[in-house]
Amino acid sequence: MFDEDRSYLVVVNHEEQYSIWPEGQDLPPGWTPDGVSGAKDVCLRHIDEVWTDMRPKSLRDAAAR
Amino acid sequence: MPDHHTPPRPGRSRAPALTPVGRGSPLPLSFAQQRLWFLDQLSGPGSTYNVHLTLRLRGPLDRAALGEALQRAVDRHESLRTTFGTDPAGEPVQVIAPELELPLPLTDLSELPAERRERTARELAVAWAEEPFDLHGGPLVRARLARVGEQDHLLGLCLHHAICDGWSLDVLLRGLTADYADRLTPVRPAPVQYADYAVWQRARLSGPALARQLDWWKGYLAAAPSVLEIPADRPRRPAAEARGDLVLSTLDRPTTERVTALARRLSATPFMVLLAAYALLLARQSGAERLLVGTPVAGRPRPELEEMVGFFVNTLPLHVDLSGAPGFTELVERVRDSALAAFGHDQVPFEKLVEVAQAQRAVGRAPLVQAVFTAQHAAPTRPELAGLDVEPLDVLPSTAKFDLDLSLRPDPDRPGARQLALAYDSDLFDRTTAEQLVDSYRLLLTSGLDEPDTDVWRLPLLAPPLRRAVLEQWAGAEPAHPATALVHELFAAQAARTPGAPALSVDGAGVDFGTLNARANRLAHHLRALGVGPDDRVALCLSRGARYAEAVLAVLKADGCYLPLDPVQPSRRLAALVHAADARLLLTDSAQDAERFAGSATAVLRLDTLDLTGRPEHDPERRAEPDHLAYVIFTSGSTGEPKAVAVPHRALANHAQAVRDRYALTGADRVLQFAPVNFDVSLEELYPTWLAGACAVVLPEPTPAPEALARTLAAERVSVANLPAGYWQQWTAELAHSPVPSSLRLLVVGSERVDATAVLAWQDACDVPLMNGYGLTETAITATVHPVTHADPELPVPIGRPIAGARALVLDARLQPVPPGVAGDLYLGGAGLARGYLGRPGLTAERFVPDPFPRRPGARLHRTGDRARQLPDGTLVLLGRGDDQIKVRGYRIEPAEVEAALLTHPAVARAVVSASTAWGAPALVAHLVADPGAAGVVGADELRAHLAELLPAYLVPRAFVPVDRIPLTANGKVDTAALPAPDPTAARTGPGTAPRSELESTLAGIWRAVLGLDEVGVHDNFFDLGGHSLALATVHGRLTEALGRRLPMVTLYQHPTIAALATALATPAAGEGGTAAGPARPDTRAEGRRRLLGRRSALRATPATTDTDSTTDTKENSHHVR
Repeated sequence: MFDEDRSYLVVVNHEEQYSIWPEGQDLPPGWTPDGVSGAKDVCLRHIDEVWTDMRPKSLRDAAAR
Repeated sequence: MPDHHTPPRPGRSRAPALTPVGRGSPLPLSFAQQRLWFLDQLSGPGSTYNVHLTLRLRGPLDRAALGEALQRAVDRHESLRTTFGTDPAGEPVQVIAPELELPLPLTDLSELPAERRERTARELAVAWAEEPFDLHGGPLVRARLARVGEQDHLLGLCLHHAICDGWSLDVLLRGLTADYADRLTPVRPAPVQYADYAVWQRARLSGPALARQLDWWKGYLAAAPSVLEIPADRPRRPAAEARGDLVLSTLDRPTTERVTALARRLSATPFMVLLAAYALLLARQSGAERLLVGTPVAGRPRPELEEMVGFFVNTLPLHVDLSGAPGFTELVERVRDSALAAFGHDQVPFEKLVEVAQAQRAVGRAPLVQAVFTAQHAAPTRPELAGLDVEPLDVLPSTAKFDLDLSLRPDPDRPGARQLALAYDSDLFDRTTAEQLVDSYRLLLTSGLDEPDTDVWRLPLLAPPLRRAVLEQWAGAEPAHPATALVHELFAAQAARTPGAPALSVDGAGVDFGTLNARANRLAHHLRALGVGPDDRVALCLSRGARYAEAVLAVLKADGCYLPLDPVQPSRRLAALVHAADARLLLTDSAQDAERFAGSATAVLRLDTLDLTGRPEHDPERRAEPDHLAYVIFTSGSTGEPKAVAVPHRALANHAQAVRDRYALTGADRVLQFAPVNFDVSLEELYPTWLAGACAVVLPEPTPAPEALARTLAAERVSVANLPAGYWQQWTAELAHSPVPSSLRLLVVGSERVDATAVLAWQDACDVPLMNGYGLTETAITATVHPVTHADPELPVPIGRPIAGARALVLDARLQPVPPGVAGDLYLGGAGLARGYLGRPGLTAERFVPDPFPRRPGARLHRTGDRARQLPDGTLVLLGRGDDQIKVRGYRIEPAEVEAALLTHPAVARAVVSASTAWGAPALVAHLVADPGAAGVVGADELRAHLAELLPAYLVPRAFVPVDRIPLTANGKVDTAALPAPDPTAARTGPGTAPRSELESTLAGIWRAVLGLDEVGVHDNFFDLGGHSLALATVHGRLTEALGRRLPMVTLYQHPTIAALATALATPAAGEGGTAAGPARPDTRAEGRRRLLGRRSALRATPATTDTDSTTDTKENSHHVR
């Protein structure tokens, strides 16, 4: 399913964790597309840029308090 | 009759009329009869091809009239008087008796007590149906009567399939109706009879006409694999007759109507719609995108054949292409086009199609089609016997001709509905599996009708109860341990409870919980003072021991996370890891080690010289959250670039408690610390131990040789040990000299695939339970555990079920859960999930993906890259790496399966199976390392024979290449590219190896004569050389003559090369009549176990034992044994 030769969506969950999801497949609950889609390496490069803090959001929030 | 007769039938109108032939000269068999005759020769008299019918007759029965009516049928139809003999040349012929008296014996049950009467009647009906026929002696028709009561009778009719078919039964029943009413009109047999048809068929299907038809089929069948491997509950046995059973169900009226409506809309027939759903079921179960489904066709292309009794029905292999992502509508259209094309060529007998397809033949597997589908548009004829109420009685089949045979017919009890009957091979499938298949069929059909445009591969396959079991129970139902307390807090609590108990034993010296906690606290306060805080990485360049234990606890207590480094690794690599992990601090305990990091940007702290004076001994207050990191461990990626897996406290806390409970650790345990510190199993040896109040026994450096480990375990009174499978397997080979110490109560193996023979050796030697653990650093060490039992099958030892809080799913390529038995990709998740790869967001996003069936929205799963399947109870079996999967001739092959089977041979120490293109098209090649105890790698024939008992033919490698060792890549993985390529000429057919013994020469002579060839090699496959089943029967006859003894026909089938056959004949057990097919139906597992054990102990007793033949064989083919 996560083959190289297909199109993906960049998706993100409530913890602001990023992942990819095969385009056209129903997106599981708790995930939303971040708007970028395309070839796998395109999606992964985008994630490398935007996911700068890999701590889950709830942890970041707790640490900031 | 099958209801797909709407297409134009060009054959019908063009077929020339039948004319009677003289009965004086030998009468040939029809092609279909020939096939059954051959099968009968192969397996001997049996009941597999019995056609039977039981009728309940209520009312006043005129027995004399019934007897006469049946006799009139025998007088009318030559088929009912036919038996089979051979002409002087050995060719089979039909023998028609001018007269045959058909008795109608009566069994009187009416005197039995009422409650026993009914049961006895049913048992009697089954016995009637199963009574074997003798094709030679005949008669091939039997009638039986039982009186159940004054006005209640059972009539049983049983015929051999060679003289009738389902249509014939209708003919007979219609005749019975007329003859029972009218005994006076003289019988006038039809001018043409079945023997005339056989002559006509042979004349018609010969020469260019046949060649044209066969050419068409060759093209039609070319793209479809001739083996459909539907995952079964038990391995296939090379038994000639398989047991069968039946699951009955219904398709309700609304669904039936929707099927008809869709068929109409697509100019198809309901048969095609129902077949499309069946093909989809088979495809989803097997993973095959193209497959063949057999379907019967009436095979009566002339009007004068319609009232004939005889074997006309033909099986056509229908090719269904499910590649791509067709919707159900499109699939029905594909089935329609394919079926119409095939029906246009339906006169070619099945046996000829098997030949043109060059289908692999194997005893115990129907050739070409393993799954069959029938849809009938009418309920079977119910004869009307004057004054009697007639009701057909269902007698279940006890033998199976195919693996799966689904038939649908109008339900006689529910108007508009269809009865669905799945006949299955009960040697392969459990009843629950067959029921699941029926459930899945109905589900796929109805969802295909509901969502005709959805990719059929995404339609739900699992019926709701099974789906729930898979996603909720099997995936892991035990809740996670709450992360309210982190491991170091749990450790501190334990230290408070049992301060004087030993927490650690190093070289015989103990460190108690209280001391260890106090020392760790002082170091933790120091680390805090140096600024260590949550998520800060502290590298530890320390060997396992007291100082290491103190350091890991201190880092956690300081709220940091630790990165364990193995000091024996090169300095450069260690420095790179420290840099990659962006460590804040590095701890060592020697000047030399500190020196190694002199140039590093990371501050180095030497524990051997550190002054902790003034640091308090109390537990520091915790600031870390459960999602802060506890440790970082590097694993090597597929590209060779190490990845830092970052694991949070939540995962470690759950793991430590879940594993403590799973291994039932108590304060009395002494747990070995074996693993190197940079390997995450070392954490599993510490935290669960400590959380149980138990003592971790540190294995001194260097790691002892496997056979010396037992001494250490005994000296240290170790009760629980966790060993890598490879290391443990070496120990199991030495158990005689290095016995299992009495202190040991549990042995956990893992990290690598577990060899079943080692399990057997262990179980043979001791009663210490074994557990097989599986997990990845990405999911916090062990995620699944399997308590190995004596009942486990030989092939891959299962990895069990998820531990508490863990989640495991086996999903197909469309991310759908797979049914039990079906291979899929293994995904792990739950409480043990790592945060990701440190500093690698893209890589993390690729390997940690959305859970398609989350318990909590937004949950992730780790794609392990491993392939797995589930046993019917949900137990996981690991099949190997997904990247290792090979496709050969359309079959998806898990090399691990083949490797595991090869390793059950005592002479094989290591095996690597890969695909090679040395022959052009990809084929399997096995590279083998001989067991040091054996005299070398055994001959390919022996290996092939060995594998043939364990695996389907397409999983048996084409070549076996002996190697001294298996080359590894820098990461310790098998370097497939460095394996020597097989020599394609060594494995070539044609003028290959000449006969090497008198027996082989004799065999070769017979083959040449029968096949009409000038030359045959001893490794050539009989069927590859153009041999077919009838030719094999001729070989059988001549061989019996030449050897002066009769051997079972199956022996020829099982050993299709001269070399293999000669080996088999030289082995005393194989040659004796009747025994080579094996005992009737032994327990496969028990037998396999005995066999394995026997071989193993034989090997141990006389390590040099091997028969001279195979040694010679190995030498002759020093490199490329075929």
